[in-house]
Amino acid sequence: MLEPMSTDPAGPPEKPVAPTVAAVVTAHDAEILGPCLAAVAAQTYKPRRVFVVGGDEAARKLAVDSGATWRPNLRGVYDSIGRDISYVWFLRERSRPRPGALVALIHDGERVDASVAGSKVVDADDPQRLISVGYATDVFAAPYSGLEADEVDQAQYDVIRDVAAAGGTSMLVRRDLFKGLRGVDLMMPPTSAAIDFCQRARLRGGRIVVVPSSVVEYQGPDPEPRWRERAGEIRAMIKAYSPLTLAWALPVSFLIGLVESVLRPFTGRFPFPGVIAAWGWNLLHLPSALRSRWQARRGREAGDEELFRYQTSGSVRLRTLYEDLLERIARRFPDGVLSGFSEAVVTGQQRVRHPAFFVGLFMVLLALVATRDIWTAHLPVVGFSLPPASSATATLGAYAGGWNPAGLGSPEVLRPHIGATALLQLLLLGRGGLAVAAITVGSFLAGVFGTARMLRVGGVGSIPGYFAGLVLMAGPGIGAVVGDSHWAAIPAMAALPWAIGGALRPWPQRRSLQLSRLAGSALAIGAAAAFVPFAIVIPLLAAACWALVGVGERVRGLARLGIATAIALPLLIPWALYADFGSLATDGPAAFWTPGVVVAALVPLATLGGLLSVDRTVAALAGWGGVLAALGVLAARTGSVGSGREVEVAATLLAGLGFAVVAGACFEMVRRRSRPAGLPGAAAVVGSLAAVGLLLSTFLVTGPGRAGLPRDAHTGVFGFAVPAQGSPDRVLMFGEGLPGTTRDIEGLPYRVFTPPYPTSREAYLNEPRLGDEALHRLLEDLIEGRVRRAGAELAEFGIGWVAFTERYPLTQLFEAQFDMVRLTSLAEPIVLLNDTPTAPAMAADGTAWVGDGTAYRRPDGAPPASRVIVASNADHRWGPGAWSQDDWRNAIDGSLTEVGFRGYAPRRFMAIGAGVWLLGLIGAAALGRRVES
Amino acid sequence: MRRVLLAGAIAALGVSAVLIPEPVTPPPPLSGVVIERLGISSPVDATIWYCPWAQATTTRDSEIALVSGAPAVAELTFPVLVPGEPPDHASAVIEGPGGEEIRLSEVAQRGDSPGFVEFAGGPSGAAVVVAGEVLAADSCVGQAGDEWFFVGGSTMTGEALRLRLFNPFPEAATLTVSAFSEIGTEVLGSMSRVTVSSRSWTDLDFAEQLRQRQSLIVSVRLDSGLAVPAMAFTQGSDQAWWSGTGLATAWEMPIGRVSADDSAAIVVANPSLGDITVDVELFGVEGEHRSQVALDIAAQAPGRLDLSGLELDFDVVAARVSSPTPVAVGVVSAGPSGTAVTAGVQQLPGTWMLPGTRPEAGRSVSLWLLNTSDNAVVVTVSRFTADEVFNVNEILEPGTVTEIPVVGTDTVGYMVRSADPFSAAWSVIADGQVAFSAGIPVPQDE
Repeated sequence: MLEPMSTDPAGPPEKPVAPTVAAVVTAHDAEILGPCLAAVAAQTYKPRRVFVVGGDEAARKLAVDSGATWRPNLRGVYDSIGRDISYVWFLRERSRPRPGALVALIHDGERVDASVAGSKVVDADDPQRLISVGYATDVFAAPYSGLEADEVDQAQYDVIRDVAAAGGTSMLVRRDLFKGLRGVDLMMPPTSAAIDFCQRARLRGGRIVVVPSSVVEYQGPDPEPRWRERAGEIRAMIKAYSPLTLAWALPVSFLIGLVESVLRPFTGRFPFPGVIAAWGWNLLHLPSALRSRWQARRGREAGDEELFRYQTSGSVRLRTLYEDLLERIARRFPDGVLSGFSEAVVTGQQRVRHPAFFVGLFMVLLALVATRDIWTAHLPVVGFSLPPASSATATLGAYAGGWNPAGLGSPEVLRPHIGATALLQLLLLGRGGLAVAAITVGSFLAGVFGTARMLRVGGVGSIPGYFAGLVLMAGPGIGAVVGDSHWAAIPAMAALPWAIGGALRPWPQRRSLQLSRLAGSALAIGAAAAFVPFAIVIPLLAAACWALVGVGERVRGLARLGIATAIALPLLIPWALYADFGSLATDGPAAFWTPGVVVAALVPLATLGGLLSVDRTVAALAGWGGVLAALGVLAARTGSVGSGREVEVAATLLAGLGFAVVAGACFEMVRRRSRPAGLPGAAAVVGSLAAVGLLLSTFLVTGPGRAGLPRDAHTGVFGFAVPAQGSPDRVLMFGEGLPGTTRDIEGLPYRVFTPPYPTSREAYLNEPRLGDEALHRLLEDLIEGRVRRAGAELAEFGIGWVAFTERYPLTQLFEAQFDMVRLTSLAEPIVLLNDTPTAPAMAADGTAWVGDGTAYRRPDGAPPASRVIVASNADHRWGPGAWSQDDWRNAIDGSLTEVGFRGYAPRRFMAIGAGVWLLGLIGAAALGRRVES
Repeated sequence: MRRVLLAGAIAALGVSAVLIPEPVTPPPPLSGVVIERLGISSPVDATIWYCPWAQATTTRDSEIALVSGAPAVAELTFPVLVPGEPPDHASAVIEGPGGEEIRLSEVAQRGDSPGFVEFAGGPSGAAVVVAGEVLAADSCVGQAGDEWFFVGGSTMTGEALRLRLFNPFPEAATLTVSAFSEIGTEVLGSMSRVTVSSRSWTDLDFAEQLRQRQSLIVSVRLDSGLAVPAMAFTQGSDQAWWSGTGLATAWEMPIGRVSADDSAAIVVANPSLGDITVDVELFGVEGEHRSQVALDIAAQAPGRLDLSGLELDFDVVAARVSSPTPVAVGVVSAGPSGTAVTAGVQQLPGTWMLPGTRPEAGRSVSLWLLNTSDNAVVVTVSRFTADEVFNVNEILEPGTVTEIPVVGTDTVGYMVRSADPFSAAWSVIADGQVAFSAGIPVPQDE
């Protein structure tokens, strides 16, 4: 609120003033204090009493000599101020008020009925330079002067304005307010103490203004340590805000501190210890803060909304950080070099300054932190989290009608995500680790930003959207799936909001844009289904639920998603044509996800809170999320009707999507700052707190740095089984926690893989074929005690090692074989060496052929053989040359230098067709965006 | 209203999710599956027989007799003590019910050559007859418990007692050896805990450390890994080899001596901590004769019943021992006929296999079938040659041991079957040499 100034700041007051004033000067150093007392004494309107608070003996002597009263602390002043005093004028020892400063404060303050009036502060050394003209603050109680660096005072701010806080440099407070608020907080440093006082005054209905006609020169710099000010800001928040605001403001404030800790070192400061110290200090002083809070909020006449009115959006600290970084970057480059960049910066200044930018930036950092082990090292090798094979072309060949090397091999089609990863690996010059890291990090980010985009359908802002995205990508839903080692769930989950959002958001009018959106949705659906097959139904299901419970135009969205799903299907060819979806739905352990306490307690509360929101859209969003979550949890527990692993994974993703939507609705409720009374108000508080709980639970996933995946269990374990030259023999491993899918013998899981560990293309075992059945029979014979030379028998399968994750009764049977030798140097896993020479491919003369992708080649210098036995499930397409079936194995003409699977041409054409379809969809999606831009 | 319905629907879904029954938890891996440590036992139709005393030198050779009740391929493996040296192999094909005999010298002639035989069909059995300067015979070892007892050995002047520990497996085996004799529990020192390297064997000589023991009982317990023990007892110019047994409360010895001129003794080992009295029933070949003798045995001590010292009206050939607590029993015979030791057998209804019963010039073989019951037992005696089986029925009179002399040099073994309990053994006699061998029981369900 602006008021015209009533007086010339340089001139005397026009009418006499009756109020009496007590000046209170906080002191530490007598040398600095002296000029301040002199300036007070020189005021045209004399304070009735002058108090000097604090300082040493010299300060006390100086005060007495100056005719002031010395008090050791503010409590003494508080007790000394009686009814004869109208105002209390707070000054700091570094303040040098000009002679008319006090009278201007009194006169203009009274005129606008201000409870607190502050002065304009200029630099004592350079009086033309402005230091502050009152403060705005952000919601985190950090002060914001709004001034440019070294801004010159040209009377540009010389109007009386309402401000969030007057600086502690010179602040005139009504005596009754001063007494009512029990003075300033003695535990806080000056600036935050002033902000705290002003906030409490405002809660009591007081008006805070800055009176620029009152000028105070300030002898800088301020000696207070930064962490003390940060601690004071946190304390000010704790004392002033409602629980609802605190529920999100405190965690975000902490996150801001972390972001500063990461980026501030680039500007020459390292605030992390200060951040920790500030929070630690507040933890230590929490009881006193809560007592003060009770006093501050008791009898309040205004709520948080009144405080928000005078606050700037976003984070002042992050904004300052950003500007400092920009300045530092600009200084490092010669003039002109960054001109384009500078323009871009200037152009996007408004966007960048928006708090959403910083939250988004924080999400990027969090994505890097949450996946740090993956991009700094490698994917943890455990369960279904398996790295891609070294040869992308071989994997693509295997996908396109080639040989599936899992277990004893088969011509079954690989899962589409293996082909998709290999495709990216090929584009990254064969670097499988990089491809996996790119998918993981990219998925995390895509999921976060995609969720924000999807939730726009309900008018959810960016920041709540990002937080909801974080719940999507690191919340309890994805945490449960990824924690069970399903790495592929990460990209699948990330694709879901893009698929749904693309179809549900307002539909463009232009046909090219419609095509683009449809193609984009189809690509996202295809990606989700490629990584988690049953995720293909999630977008359609989500759209159907939205159609039932949502708001606005929504049925067409469902139709669009139906079309997009149909368009996405060809992307899954050839796998989709050959997959046994019945087995896929029932294979593996029975689905029965038992959500943790976080889900069981917080999600219902958040859903209820959102549903009771006064905002219809928020309620609809919460309802939508609640339905998705409940459906997902229900489907993820249908093991008793036959659902298996894949159903549980997809259903848990659906539940996770629901959690994110619910959280987004609750965060949006906070953003809109709607504060209904009664039950909706209480529900809003509870719902928001539950959503914050969901948000905090994401640290369980992001903290360890593996994107939620379990610890690596297999890297290096079988390193000894890989020879320096030639191909390794297969490993037959028994026990729980084996990589990929398994078979079982009397309930004991087992599988065959090629050491050092199975790659992603070996993750999923084929349906049992002749060789697999032969191996199973051998194990049955072994259990019946009919085998004493298991090594010789296993050699036919190319198995050179038998391992157990732990000791089972079966272990002793292998230990009692004539031709199996226990490696006693390994305690765990228990490993036995097959004494019989073997190889996955062996020539008639006993020469082991060398594996090359999914093929085998004759070793250099080895003579041609009459035939080579490939210990893989028999298939007539092995060749070239004469092929015959040797029991369950392949016997191939060994006169050539290489044998391999010839491939199944129709599947290859299908795979190529799917690739072309993929390119077409990418083209359509990109073309539409180009037209749009 | 709409919100209430929505909340209700969500709640209903949530409650359904809570109420949905948990799938049946699969049992723990291998639950209900009985997996026993293989030990040296093996299935009847794929038996493995361990023959620790096989040997071939210029003065003696081992005849490895293989019999099978079904077509089978037998693979013989003889590890070599030299590390890294591949074992010697041999194989034999048994076309049907019948047998084969392999001379060890034709496979490997390098002194001691413990080996094992793997049958790919069965029921089957194997025995090794060492002939030449000594005559020793016993069935190869096909099964055993965790602890073996060797009864019948002594270390008197002129005698030697040697324990062979054969480990055909790829892992080292650790065994605990203990002994007691008529003077009490023996201190074995470094011999008490023995490690046998993989695919090798080691011999422990007791004659040096434990001299002048008339009845030395040796027990061997497996601590880790697997190994097969066998005992060699030398007296005079003859030698006896036999395998160990476990403990039982009833034992039968179908053959105790082949000549009244030989001194024979039944030795009972009492490893328990209490004194016992065992009943020994004695049998002869001349009609039903039953004579019962009580033998008091102190705790952890051997008991010895000298058959030559008994004043009976018949020549004792066989015996039956009944004990209140588990004991091990063996019989030792020494004299003009030679030296023979064998362990007792447990009476079983069903089938007994008797491989190695081939007579030849100067070497006679007899089967000994003991019927300790009060009723006659009809048995079918099947003589196996390489390609034929000859069956005859015999009646075993009650309380009598029946001797069936073996005729036909093409004989490689016998199989004797009955629906009633009886026990079987065989003996081989040459000039001043004798050997006893217990029969191999075949489980009835086979």
